[in-house]
Amino acid sequence: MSKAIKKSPWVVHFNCNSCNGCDIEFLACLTPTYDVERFGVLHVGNPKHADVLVVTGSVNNRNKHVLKNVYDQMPEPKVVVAMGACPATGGIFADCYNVIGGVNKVIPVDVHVPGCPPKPEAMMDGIIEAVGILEKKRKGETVDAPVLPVKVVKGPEAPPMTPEMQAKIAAAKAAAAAKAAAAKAAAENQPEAKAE
Amino acid sequence: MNWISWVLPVLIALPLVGGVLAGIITSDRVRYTLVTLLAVLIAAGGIGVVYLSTLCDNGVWTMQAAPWMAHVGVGLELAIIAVILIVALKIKNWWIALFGVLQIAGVIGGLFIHGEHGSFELFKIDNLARIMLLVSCCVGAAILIFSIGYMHNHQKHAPEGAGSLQRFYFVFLSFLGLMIGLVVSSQLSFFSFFWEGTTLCSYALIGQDGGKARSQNAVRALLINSFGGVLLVLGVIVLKYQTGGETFNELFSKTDATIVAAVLLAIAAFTKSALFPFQSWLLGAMVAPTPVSAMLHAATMVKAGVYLVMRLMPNYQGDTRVTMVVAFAGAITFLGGALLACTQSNGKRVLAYSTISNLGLVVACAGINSPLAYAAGLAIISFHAISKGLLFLCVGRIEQEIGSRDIEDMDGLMFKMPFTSLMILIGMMSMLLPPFGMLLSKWLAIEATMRSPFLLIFMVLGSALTVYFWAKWIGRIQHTGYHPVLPKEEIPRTMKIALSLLALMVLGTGITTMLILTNVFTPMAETVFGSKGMLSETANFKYGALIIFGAVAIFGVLHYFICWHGFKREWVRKPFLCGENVTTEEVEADSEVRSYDFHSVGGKIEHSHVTNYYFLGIINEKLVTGCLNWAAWLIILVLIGNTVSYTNSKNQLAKDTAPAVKSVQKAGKSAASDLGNFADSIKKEAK
Amino acid sequence: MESLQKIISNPWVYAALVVVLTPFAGALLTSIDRKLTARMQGRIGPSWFQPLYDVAKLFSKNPMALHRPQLIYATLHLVFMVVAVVLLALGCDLLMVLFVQAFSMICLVLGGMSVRSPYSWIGSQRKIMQMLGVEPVFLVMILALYLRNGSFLGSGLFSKAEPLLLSMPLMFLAFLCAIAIEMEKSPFDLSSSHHAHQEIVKGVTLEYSGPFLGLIEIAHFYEFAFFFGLMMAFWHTNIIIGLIVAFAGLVFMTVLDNSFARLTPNWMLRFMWTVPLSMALANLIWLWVK
Repeated sequence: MSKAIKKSPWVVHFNCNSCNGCDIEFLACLTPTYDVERFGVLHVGNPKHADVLVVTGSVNNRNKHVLKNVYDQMPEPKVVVAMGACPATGGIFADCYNVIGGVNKVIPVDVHVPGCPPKPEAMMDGIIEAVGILEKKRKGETVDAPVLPVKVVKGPEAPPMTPEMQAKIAAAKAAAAAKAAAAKAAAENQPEAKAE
Repeated sequence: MNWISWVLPVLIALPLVGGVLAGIITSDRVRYTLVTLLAVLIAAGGIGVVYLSTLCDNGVWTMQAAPWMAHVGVGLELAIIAVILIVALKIKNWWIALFGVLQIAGVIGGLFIHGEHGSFELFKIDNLARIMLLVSCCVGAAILIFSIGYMHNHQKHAPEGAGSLQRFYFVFLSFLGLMIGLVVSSQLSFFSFFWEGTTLCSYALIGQDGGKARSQNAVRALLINSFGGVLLVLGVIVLKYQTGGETFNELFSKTDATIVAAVLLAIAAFTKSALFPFQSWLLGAMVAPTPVSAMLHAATMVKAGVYLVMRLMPNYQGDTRVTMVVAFAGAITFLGGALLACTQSNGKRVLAYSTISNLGLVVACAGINSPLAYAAGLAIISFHAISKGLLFLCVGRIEQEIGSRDIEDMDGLMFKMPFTSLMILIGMMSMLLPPFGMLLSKWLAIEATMRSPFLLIFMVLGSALTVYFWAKWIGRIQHTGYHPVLPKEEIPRTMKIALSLLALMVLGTGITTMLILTNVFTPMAETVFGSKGMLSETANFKYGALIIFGAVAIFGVLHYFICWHGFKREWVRKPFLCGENVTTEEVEADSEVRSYDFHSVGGKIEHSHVTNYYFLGIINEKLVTGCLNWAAWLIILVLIGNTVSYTNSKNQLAKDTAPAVKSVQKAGKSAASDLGNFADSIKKEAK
Repeated sequence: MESLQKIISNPWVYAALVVVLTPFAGALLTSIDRKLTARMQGRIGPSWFQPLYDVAKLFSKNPMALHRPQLIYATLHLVFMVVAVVLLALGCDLLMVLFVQAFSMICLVLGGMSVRSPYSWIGSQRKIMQMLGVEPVFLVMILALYLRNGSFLGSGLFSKAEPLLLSMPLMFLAFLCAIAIEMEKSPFDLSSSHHAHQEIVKGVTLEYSGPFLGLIEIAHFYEFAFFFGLMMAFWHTNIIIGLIVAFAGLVFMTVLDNSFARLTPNWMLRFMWTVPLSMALANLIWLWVK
């Protein structure tokens, strides 16, 4: 039984408030290149048949009860995978007047997959991760909710920036700049390599 | 067995006299007691007569009557036609009047044809009559009991100009009595009397509630059945002219000469059984109070027609050219009825079309004229009567309760009227569930149809369509949400008793279907056709029936303990509506909001409702009816033409070939004796 | 060896074996179907035991339902499907086998209609439309078998030495169309598609979940094996060629499934009542004349 549940995660995909980037990437998982069906993953259109709920996009006031209903209509044991930045924190929509924030404000999330959008490989990795949690849940073990590494920041109530945070942001910016430079360099190098 | 010669006339007279009494009595309470008593007596009498008649030699009971009784028969017949004529004059319908005059002329003309004047066979109870007696008495009695509660309510809300209860019970009871008389009479004058009697009663009952539409439909019923009556009288005259006698025995003893008479009688039977193209009166008859519809469809009237066809056809086995046309007339009705039933949303009309369709199947079985088909026909008549009686009564009850007979309005009935819904579900399941009689007899019918591949197309398509409209209706009735407890249904006691009785009959015959088929209907068909062992293959199915029952029983018990008994409230979820389901608070706040409603644009609460599929815009009822009527008229014309030319050619052939046949027979005989001698000599040599 | 044969030839033991082994055969066929589809799309596809994993997983989930009657129909669907397979295996009357199988489908339809779900309801409506299209073809096929064998019994199939396919080629084609409908293959997968994104979600089976969906899946295995067996019967004289014929039918359906879009119920009904039905009837008349 525990092998069966690991081998056959049926996934229902719910688009909360997404820009469709994550959704397109998620559907790419089904294509021949990634072929998620080899892990027994079946994409179903219906929460009643599903084991894994994949959520993309942030939660707003209009769809929070829809998300809740879809979650409630899944039979136990079940896991929720939040795909991308939006369902984790609200992402770039976090400051919108209607957005509540991440999915974990409405339903418990088991796996967060980072990225905007995450790569298909990362998504598949997330589902496989979720399958492990699914098996634990079936055995009745308690599973702790994952702790997000990022603090959720939202609109007008945003706290004033502390010096540490400013330093962190500066560091992050510097790191990003360095990364971009490296990437640029790599991109420039490549044609040369080809030319050689 | 002198008993039966008293019991039977009493059984016929009982409803007639009881009807008169019920018509005189003014106190409702006394009348209801009388009707209950009569219902019990009729059922007991019917079963008694059937039992007693089986004890006779060969299982056939007959009653001879003195010659003067023939005049009584003619007198009765004339009297009832005169009543129809008076009715026709009163409502100023000249067609009916014309048919009445023609009938009277026919009957009087028949008197001048010299026949044998001796004692004759008045009543005869054989296997077919026994089945019909059981159907009429048992189902009829249940309908009588139901009618007490129904008519009591009905009369409270009856439209203006509706007939009184006295009138209703007078006609209703007489109807049953006449039907009992019809199935046992062997003499054709008496038969015609009972036949016309049922026509008249149906006219009176359809028009019971008054009003223009109802009286129009009643007149249509009278018109079409009078036309049948003319054909019946004509058939009797032809018979009398050709054989001199006027009982069924004469009809069957010289089948070469009487095929024309038989075909005329068969067409008369088509009108009575509402086969295409005569179906319109039965559909119009739906305006009557429901017990009337039940009586028309299940116990009396339309069953009289198929009874006559079933009685006639087996005696013309040699005339396949004629009987096959009859089978076609039945088969086209089977397909047409089923097709039109699929397009109807009015429950009573669905039932009516389904009845027409099944009657067509019986006629087709009779026309196929093989033992297997005959057994199937008998089975359909009896199983159909019980199931259809139950269904009609349930629809009547539902209509009184919810004020509509539309199938779409029966949505979620299971939790509004659990008892009635259970009954109607039993009735409908018995029309298509494997171990029940209707499906098994349809199975026999299809196997028997192998004699003609063209007939087969009708059978195959018709049987697929039958499943379609029943499944839709069952689905609508049990379409519900979750209810923790069933509400208790308020139902008058008489209705409850009648419905339970019929449901028990359905279940009882359903469980024992295979036994009934092999032990009752098969021997009957074998007696009629004089052949044995026709069901050797199908008898093999006993085994299969055992497997079905075994599996359903085992899984049923398992299911009960695991799923039904172990069902928990926590299992229940709302249906999938893309997550837009209403919340529990919203349901509690507003009694109009259901748990299965959903939020639409702007948070508005909407109710989702999907109707059944009725082929709207694809099948036009009027157009299809027109086409079918045209085809059916064509078949009837072919039937008549075929019969006439066939008889002529046959007579001619018989005359022409008589010497030749004789010489061939002679030659054959001499050859056979030569062969015999030759064989003997060889034997001798061998020794 | 001989005693083993004796034990198997006992009808009760035989029936029990059929009941136990058929779902595994059906599961194998389902995974062949899925694997074949995957290969056609250039994917690796699921494991060979995937259908078994799926069913085992469904049974390990917590039950969930809308109301009690819904569950009865899931059970009945399975029961009648098992009975149909057993009756067929025991060589009983084929017409009866067909009726039992049809009733099993009706149970699925009624289960879909019993709940207050618009998707499920529409799925059921389409399912009966599908049955309306399929039943005549099946009936005509069985009647043709009767003409050929002189018997309605399934065991009568083996009375003739000539393979069925040679005398009933048109019937086989009509039968393939009918199976494609029963197995919910495109362009006929109207009532319950295998794909996630369709307008009525999952149609008839939408409101079943967990163990009850598992029952329906098992019934589906039986059904697959049932039809595969019938396809094999078209070459009953040699089991290898029989397998090849049935496998060819399977491949045909998979190709059909992958190369067609879904069409409307009305189109399906019109198509079934014209092309395959007339093919079947033509074959019937052909046998009749012979």
